[in-house]
Amino acid sequence: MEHDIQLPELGEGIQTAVMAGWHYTIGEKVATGDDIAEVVTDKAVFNIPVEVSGTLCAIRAHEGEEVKVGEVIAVVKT
Amino acid sequence: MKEELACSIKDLGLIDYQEAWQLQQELVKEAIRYETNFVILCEHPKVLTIGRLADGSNLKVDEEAINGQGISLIKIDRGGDITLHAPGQLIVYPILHLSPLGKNLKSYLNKLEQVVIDLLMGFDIVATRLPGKTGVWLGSRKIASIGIGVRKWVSYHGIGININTDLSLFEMIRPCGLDVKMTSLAEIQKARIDMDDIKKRVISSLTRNLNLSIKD
Repeated sequence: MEHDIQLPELGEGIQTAVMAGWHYTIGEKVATGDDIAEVVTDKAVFNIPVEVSGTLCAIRAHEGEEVKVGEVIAVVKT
Repeated sequence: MKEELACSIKDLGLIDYQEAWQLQQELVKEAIRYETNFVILCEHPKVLTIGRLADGSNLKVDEEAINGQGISLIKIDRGGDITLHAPGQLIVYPILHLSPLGKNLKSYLNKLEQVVIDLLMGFDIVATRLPGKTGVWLGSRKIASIGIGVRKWVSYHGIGININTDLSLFEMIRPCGLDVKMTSLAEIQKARIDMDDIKKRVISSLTRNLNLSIKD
């Protein structure tokens, strides 16, 4: 089963963040609670935790790209 | 009633930036593993740090000039642009689980600002926030800068509050990418400030604003 990984809510007033990098590559196993990627806002570096265990099978946002809260940034296959 | 965060205070005195960064990373791991919380208080020798979204033009002098003054230049893992740390600036690094505080970065940044606003209120100084410019301000002058990192919903990095800082050092940079004058508590009070007293007041303000219970 495929699970979309979205940029979570970071707090009111924060609508977007810039993708700063991935801690995993496609094909690698991830576990619930692992920080999968890092995004940056003007005052914070935020590591995005995943809420499922499985294999990272797609990356939809690349370093330097702006992503919106709720946008799918990756897909994990369980 | 909101959950209190049991928290240990680590007062490191004057400590090299990289050494403190190493310790922060260790404490973040410990906080995640054992569900604990920490607050580091310290000062750093003169150092310029550059955040992930830094614009190179915000450094107004060349690296040679900086090195000539014995100042290091370090790229780091936090939000924000360029900032300066130096003795006399109190650094506060809260390493806290943000889930009990609502998993809300904006709200957490606001709470950190409030820690400084309340600290200054204790000196009858009314400090404010400026919309869109995170930090704590006295009119158009900035007294405290804030930049955070979050890993597994545990915070790191934090606040730099100018207490007795040599403000001339800020002339080398556009702090946080802004054309702004910095100020310090000593400049406002026209007297050198007792840092140990400030630390006690900061702990008290942190306790109130972040619902901490301090462990011995």
